[in-house]
Amino acid sequence: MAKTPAKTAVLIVDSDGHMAQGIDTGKLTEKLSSGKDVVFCRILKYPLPESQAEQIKQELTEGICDRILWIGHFTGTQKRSLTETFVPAGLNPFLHGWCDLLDQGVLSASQDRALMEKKALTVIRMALARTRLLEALEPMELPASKSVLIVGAGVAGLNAAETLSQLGHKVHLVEQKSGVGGKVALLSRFYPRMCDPHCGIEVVLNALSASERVDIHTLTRVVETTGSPGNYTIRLEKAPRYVKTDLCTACGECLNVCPVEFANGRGAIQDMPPFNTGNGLLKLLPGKTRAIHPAEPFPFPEAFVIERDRCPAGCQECEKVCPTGAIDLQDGSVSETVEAGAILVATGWDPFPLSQVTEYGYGVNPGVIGNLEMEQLLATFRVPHAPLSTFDLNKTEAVGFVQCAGSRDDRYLKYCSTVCCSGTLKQVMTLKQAYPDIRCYIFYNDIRSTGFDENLLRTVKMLDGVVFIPGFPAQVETNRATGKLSAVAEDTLSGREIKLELDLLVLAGGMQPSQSADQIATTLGLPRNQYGFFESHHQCRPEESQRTGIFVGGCAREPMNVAHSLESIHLAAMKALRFTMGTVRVEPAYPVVDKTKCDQCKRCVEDCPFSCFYYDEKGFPVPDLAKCRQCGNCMGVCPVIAISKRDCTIRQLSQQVETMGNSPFLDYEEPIILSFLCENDAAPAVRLAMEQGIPVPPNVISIPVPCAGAVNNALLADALSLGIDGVLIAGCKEGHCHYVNGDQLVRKRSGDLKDKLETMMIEQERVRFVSLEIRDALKYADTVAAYVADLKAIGPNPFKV
Amino acid sequence: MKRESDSGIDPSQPSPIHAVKNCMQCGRCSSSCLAAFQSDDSPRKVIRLLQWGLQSEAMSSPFLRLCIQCLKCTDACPVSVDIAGVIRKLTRDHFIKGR
Repeated sequence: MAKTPAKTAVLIVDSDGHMAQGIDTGKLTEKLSSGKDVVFCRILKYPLPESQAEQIKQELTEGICDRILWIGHFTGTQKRSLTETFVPAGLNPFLHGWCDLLDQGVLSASQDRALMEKKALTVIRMALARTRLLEALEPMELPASKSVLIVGAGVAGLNAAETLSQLGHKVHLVEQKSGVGGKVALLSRFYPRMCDPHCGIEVVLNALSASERVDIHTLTRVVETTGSPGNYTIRLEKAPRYVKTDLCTACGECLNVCPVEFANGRGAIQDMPPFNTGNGLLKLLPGKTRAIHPAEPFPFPEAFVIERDRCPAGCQECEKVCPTGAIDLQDGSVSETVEAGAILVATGWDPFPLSQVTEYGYGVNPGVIGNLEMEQLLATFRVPHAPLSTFDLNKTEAVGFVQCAGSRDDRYLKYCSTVCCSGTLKQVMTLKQAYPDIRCYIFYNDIRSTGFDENLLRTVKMLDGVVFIPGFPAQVETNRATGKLSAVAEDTLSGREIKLELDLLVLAGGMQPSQSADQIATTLGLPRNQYGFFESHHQCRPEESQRTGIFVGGCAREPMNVAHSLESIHLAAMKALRFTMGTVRVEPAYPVVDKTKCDQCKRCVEDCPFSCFYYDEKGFPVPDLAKCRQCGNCMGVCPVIAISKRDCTIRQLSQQVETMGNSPFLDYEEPIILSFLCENDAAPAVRLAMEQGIPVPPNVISIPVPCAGAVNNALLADALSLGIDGVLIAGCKEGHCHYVNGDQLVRKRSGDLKDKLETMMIEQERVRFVSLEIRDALKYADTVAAYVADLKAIGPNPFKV
Repeated sequence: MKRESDSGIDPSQPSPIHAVKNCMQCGRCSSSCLAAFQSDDSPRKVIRLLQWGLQSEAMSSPFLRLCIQCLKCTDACPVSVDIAGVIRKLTRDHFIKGR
């Protein structure tokens, strides 16, 4: 298809005559008017006078010109205002080219005028070369579902479900256990208000049960996900409950006949099953559960559940006695498929298995229990019908609390679980309220009750018989005669030995990612951090999972308290809304794969930080536009330059490089440097340098790119073979990239290129990488100055004419 | 007095002066004190003994004789413990007991 030549209107904006002081704008206009594909060149002021704007609009509608190249210095607001001015005249916002002379250091007054004029011409020619290739682009609207899938019906999942259903979304809430509530259902109190967590759960559940938009799938796992953001198809697998939820009235008749009884820690046992010696909670709370019992951890749905593997063969007692015929012992697992626009992961946490923390003899000393087990114990003296404890708090004299049991420890969890300090303070308060005479000893190395939780600490400190001991007991033994625990520790503050006789020692065990997170990570393809939590850009995008359309909240992300968990899941829900509004808007700057060039090497598929490529029926990689974050890393990695971002094509970039190589603006001995700037951080840093008048050597011309990772090796090779002396790639600092790892990808690739350069007898030093943060203006100036000096020492590029 | 260990610390003994419970042993009193490092004890250590209920030991601390009641410790305390007041009380009690 033959293309009609571009008709570019070149508009020089010199509002205050500043540009004319530095360069001869009249001569420039003359030169540019005769340029290729240029229809006219004018000097204007900003804001555009009405008459001139009208004239250009008319010229646009008459077809005299079909694109505009702006030359001058523009702020973001100015660019937007200028773009909007010409939308009524039918000019697509992507048909504006921008040539910022200040960014290129051309308007700096301290420089030599003749040199600046030459450089300005090179820079403008480069911009012209790009503008010539611009195309009109429109955003797309993809159809999307209006429902959301939430994995995990703990406190985070339940609250997100409530909010999203209130917003009119269909919610599928998936929970692996027989009941909802998660870990919060196991707690006796919420701090700091000391209210009952079951109240919080109940309130949400009332709202959810009343809503026709929420489906709660208990005993269910997500087994397969297909599709893309906006249109996921999720296959769920429901394990059998053996009790019909619609018929069971939770009357409890079956409990009287069920022959199986077993001790049940309700998920509060802080140990792994094979090590579960029964010395911890099971001994303290020997309450029995029948094989048929209410849903756990929170009895919702109200229908009972049967642990079928515990049933004696052939027993049908419950079935016989059930007045509503709700029991179905032949129940089997069911597969169900649901649609969702976005997925929220709220898989929460599991207690760190305390049997691994050998110092305190958990599982050996009966009086040593975990903090979650303590919650259960504290619930017993409040909750009617709670399993009675063999542990008599009335006879208890002293209770020890060990903070950081297995946390902040190189051998166990290396991080802080953030809630245990306040949790312990809460437990001490609850205990002291009921039993004021019990003495409490808190072993700690830092009390991290942050924010307003400081009040908890103050309150607890002022209680009688509470001592805080910085340091940990080394020996914890059970005294055979008294049955009490004896603990020896150093009071590091007075430097003395202390021997304590304790009835109970509570270990504040930490939080680790829930076991179900493994399966979810595999099913949804989510990367995890070194601790096993889901993590993307921790500060700027905490809710992301590195997979577009899938968001993470609550303790699946990092250890946090209930309030933070609700905040985080709502952030995730907010971000998920983009994919659950019926349509997904795709900005037009997405990448396109040229299938005539693509050799299906799959490198784009591998390097995409968001894993957004899929294969079409002929095996070509295609970016899933709903998943794509438009960073351009695929464009950078493609070895056959078959991928282009639509607003910044490889052709546009190579034309700029070529123009630069062919229009030298310095003497042969002076090195010229092409720098590719990451638009997020490096480009603003350079702009800052120029605005502040920081002297940057004139040898450098920069081209902004969406991410340093979008710079293709072919461009570097082009630049060097055209005689450009050095190429500087400015990306983010390691770990700072907003597209996860663009800086690392380009570093690796340009490293590979360096070997190739070596074989071509081109010095490796001609490609250099620098990490710039957004305010690193001085660093940029220094880097360029040092690079100029180094390149001078190496000598001119052998390909230079 | 019943002692549970040789160190003198008897964990069952309640703290005699209510306000010292608030102390978080940051050591600002000691670092602001003119006399703190002239003996083996310091205001912080005296307060710690009181937190453990070791009143008589606190009373006989050599530090008490060095205190000049400049009130710098009280001024420096972030959790409003009147350290100088506590020391004054201890010195007085020690004096009365000695007589």
